[in-house]
Amino acid sequence: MNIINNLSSSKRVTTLVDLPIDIIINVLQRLPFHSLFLFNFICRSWRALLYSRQIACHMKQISDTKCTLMRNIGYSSWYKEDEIICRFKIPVELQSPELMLKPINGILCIIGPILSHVTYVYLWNPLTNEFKTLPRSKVQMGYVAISFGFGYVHTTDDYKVLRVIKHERKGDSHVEIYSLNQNFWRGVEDSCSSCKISGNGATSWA
Amino acid sequence: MVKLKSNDDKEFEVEEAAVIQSEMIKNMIEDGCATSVIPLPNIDSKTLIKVIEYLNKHINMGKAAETGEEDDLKEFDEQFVNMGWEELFDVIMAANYLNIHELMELCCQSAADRLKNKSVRAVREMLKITNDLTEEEEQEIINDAPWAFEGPEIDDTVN
Repeated sequence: MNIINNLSSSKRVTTLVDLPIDIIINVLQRLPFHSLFLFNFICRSWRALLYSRQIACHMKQISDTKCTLMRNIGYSSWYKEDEIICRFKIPVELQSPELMLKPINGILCIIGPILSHVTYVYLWNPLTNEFKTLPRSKVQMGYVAISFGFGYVHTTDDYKVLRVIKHERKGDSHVEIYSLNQNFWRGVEDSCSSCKISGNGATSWA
Repeated sequence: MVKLKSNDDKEFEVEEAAVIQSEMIKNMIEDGCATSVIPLPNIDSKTLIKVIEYLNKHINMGKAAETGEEDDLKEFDEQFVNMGWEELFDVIMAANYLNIHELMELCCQSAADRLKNKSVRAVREMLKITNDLTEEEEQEIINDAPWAFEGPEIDDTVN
């Protein structure tokens, strides 16, 4: 009986953030990006929802939009059915040409300049404006990055960036994988068995 | 008939066909644990009445499509979620506890519809939220996204 009394006197839910997390995710997934972004300004506890990785990995709103990076004025614009839904200041000065991979869970992976000896990779979450410049991998003379992939590993809640580097003259290529959790690039010996890169930069992880 | 008891000790009789929309009670019945009154320590009578109203209306949901009662059910759902925020949270928590998937979907969609395109001021007012952000914290992102506070889609009304 005591247990029952204790349960019944448990605090009544009066605001969204007090709901169980799976219910919060259920509600937030139904909101357009703009409404979700405004959570930043409601109050601290609502803003914290956007920063929670447990919640963020379910927010796919940005994934079905098209984005253009307007380098010259430092903004990115997001389109859905040819209508601008939002604009963001790009948190880094990009040098052309750059590449943006398909967003995953609302996280963007921007790469630039491509086909260069010094290629930077950035991860950016526009909802929170969290931004990270990935560490450079060990420079190998004569190699340039020719292809990139961006993926999420659900089991370890980890974001991974893959790149294929190729020697300019010798023509041999290697694959390197970056793990956000470990903040570290590692080479992949037998690259063909561990991952497969399709033409559009999408990557499947085996 | 299945008997349910709210946390304020009120008993309700519900048809088994209605109540088995709750996965939790369905499992109890299947396990033979529902022979007497089922106590629901997390749910007050006011909320339980709402939930039972929903269960009774949705009892023949599968048949609604055949008999052309879909519109009727849709209208019921629209009326059903026409309640205050606190009441909605109570029903959400009850639907979660009883594991009634369709009711949860309905309530979460209603919560999202109420928040959709609302201005910051309107959301705060609707849910009686006090702004505890510092001006610096607000400015941090405001500078990078001035569009967020503009546009015809922003709805400043409170309802």
